[in-house]
Amino acid sequence: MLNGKKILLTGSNGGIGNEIAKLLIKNDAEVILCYHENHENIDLLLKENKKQKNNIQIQKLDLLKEKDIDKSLKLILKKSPIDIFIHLPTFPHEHKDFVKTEWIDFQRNIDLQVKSLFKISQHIIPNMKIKKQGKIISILTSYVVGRPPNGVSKYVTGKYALLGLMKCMAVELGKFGINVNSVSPSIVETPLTKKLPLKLKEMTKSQIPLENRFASPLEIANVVLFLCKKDSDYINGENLLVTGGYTMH
Amino acid sequence: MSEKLFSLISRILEVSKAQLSEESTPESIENWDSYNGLLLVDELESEFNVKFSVEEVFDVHSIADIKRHLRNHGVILND
Repeated sequence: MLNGKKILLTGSNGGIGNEIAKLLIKNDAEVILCYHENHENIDLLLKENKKQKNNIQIQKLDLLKEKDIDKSLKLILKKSPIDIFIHLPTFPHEHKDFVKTEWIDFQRNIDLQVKSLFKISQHIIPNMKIKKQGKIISILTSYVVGRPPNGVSKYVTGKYALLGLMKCMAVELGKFGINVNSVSPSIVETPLTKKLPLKLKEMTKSQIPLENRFASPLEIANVVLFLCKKDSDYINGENLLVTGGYTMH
Repeated sequence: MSEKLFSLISRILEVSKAQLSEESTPESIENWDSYNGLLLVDELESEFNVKFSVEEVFDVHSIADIKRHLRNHGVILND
């Protein structure tokens, strides 16, 4: 259980994020659920968890705006420090050839994935250092291992950059008892992936050793939950592949 | 039927019908990459009520190949 643990979660209205939020609440964590514009899944979650409402805080946060991050984090940290930070924001899928992609597209992805984690981490790490414990977890993609598909260069570049930062943070923060890890799923059944071509999904599934199927959001959330718990205290600097064997070497 | 096929390809690959011929390939049509190729397969399956195997999908290198596979599935194309 995660009693008394205060967990900040970005991207919590998304398919995977919302499932993680549900699991954390079920495990008695105190959660701060961040969203940008859409919040219908968070609203639903609140309705379903009325008894735990004191453990749920909602925070509108534009991760592309530094000032918004600074302001919101100061407000959040005024109440109490963050024990665990889970980072999983992403833009809706957009297929675009590299040659048609502008640098601003790359910059936006890097800002959303990397800069926001950088900014939030710098706010929360001082308290983690004092407590000599803390966990930072990001959700990447299995595309950071092996061959990515075409048309997703800006997304994959953002994720690779985030992976690099996570590893560097793991090296530097380990001595303070702070674990920094990532989870890299292959395709997960979410509204985000519903729009992919059926044939692409069919062909990808046929290459997944485990039951020729995609992961459910809950299967990813369970791995994140494990990384939040004491059970994973000796795991640091890892990128856990949750792909049903798709990325097996 | 060929008219229907060319209209569909033109719509999915966002290219004018005048630019399409049986000899058109992913190399000659800028938007025909693997992702749009799979979108095209989705549309072909739905429009002509057929189901292509993975082997058939990988065997498509031109519009002529698409026509050949559609004919193999019993689709009548008037040329």
